[in-house]
Amino acid sequence: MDLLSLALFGIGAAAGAIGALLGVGGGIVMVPALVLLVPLPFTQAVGTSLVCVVATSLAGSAVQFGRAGIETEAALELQLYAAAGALIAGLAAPWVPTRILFFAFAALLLFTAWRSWPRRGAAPAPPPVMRRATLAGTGAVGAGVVATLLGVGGGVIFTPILHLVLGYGFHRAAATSVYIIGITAGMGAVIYLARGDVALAAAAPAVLGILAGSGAASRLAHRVEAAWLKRGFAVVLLYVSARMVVRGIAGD
Amino acid sequence: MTDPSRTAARVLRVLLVAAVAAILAGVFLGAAPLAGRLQRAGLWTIVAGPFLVLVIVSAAKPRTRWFAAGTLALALIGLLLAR
Repeated sequence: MDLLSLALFGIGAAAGAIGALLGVGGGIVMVPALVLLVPLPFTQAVGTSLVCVVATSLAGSAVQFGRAGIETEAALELQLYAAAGALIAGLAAPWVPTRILFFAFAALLLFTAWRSWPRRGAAPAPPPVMRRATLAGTGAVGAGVVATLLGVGGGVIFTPILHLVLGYGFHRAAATSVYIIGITAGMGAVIYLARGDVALAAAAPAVLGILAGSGAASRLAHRVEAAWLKRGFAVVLLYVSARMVVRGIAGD
Repeated sequence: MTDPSRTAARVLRVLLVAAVAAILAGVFLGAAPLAGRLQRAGLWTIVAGPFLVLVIVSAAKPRTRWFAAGTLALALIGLLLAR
C-alpha cells in the first residue's frame, strides 16, 4: 500500500466509526476527501462515496442485526418511502433549483441539531409506535431526495426521524438508520458501479478502512452514553449544514 | 423458525468476509489484470448486501414483504431509467 492508500484507509476508518456510532454513512466526509485528496472528478467521488456508505451500512448492520438492535419493520417502511424519494429526485434532478434546496436542507439540519442536543430535565422520548407515520414517511421521502441529489446515504435525516418523530431511543435509532442508508446509497451505487463511475484504486483502501472502523465502533456503540452520541450527532449536523450553505452560495 | 435478524447477521458476515478477501487479493495483486476484476467483484458483493438482507428480514410478515417488494421495484425502475 502507498501513502495515499494508507490515508484513504485512515479516512475510511474514521468515517466508518462515526457512521456506525451516529447512524450516518460518512458520505459527507468521503466526497470532499476524495475530491481534494486523490483528486477525483466530482461524479467519480460521489460514486465511490456511495459504495463507501453501503460498506458502512453493511458492517454496522452485521453487528446490530446479531444484537437485535434494528427496528426492522420501521426500517423497511422508511426504506420504501426513501426509495420513492430517490426515484423522484433521480428523474427531477435536471430541473431542481439546487441552490434553494441546499439552503432549505441547511435550515432543516440546524433545527434538527438544536432539537437533538441533550437537555437537563428533558421529557423522555415518547414510546416507539408508528403513530406519527405521515410525518415520518414525508421525512423519509425527503431523505431519499436529498441522498440522491447529494450522493450521501441520508442518515442525517433518518436518525432524527426515528429518534425525534417515531420516538425510538438514540442507540436504536442510529442502528436502524445505519441499515436504512445501505438501501438508499445502494440504489445509487448500483448505477455508478454499472457505469464504471467508481474509482477502484480509491474505493478499495477506503472500503477496507470503513469495514475496520465501522465494525469496531458498532461493538462499542452500546457502551457510549446516548447524551454524548447526541452531542456528536449535533456537531456533525452543524458541519453538514455549514457545507450546504457554502455550496448554496457557490451555486454548484 | 429461525430469527430473520440473526440469519441476516450471518449472511452479512459471510458477504463481508468474501468482499474483504476479494478486495485484499486485488490490492496485493497490484497492476495484474485480475486485480481490477477482484476489486470490482468485492465492491459488487458489498453493494448487493443490503438488498439481500432486505429480502431476508422482510420474509417473516406479509406487511413487510410488500414494503420490500415496493422498494425493490422502485430500485429496478430507477436502474432501468438511469441506463
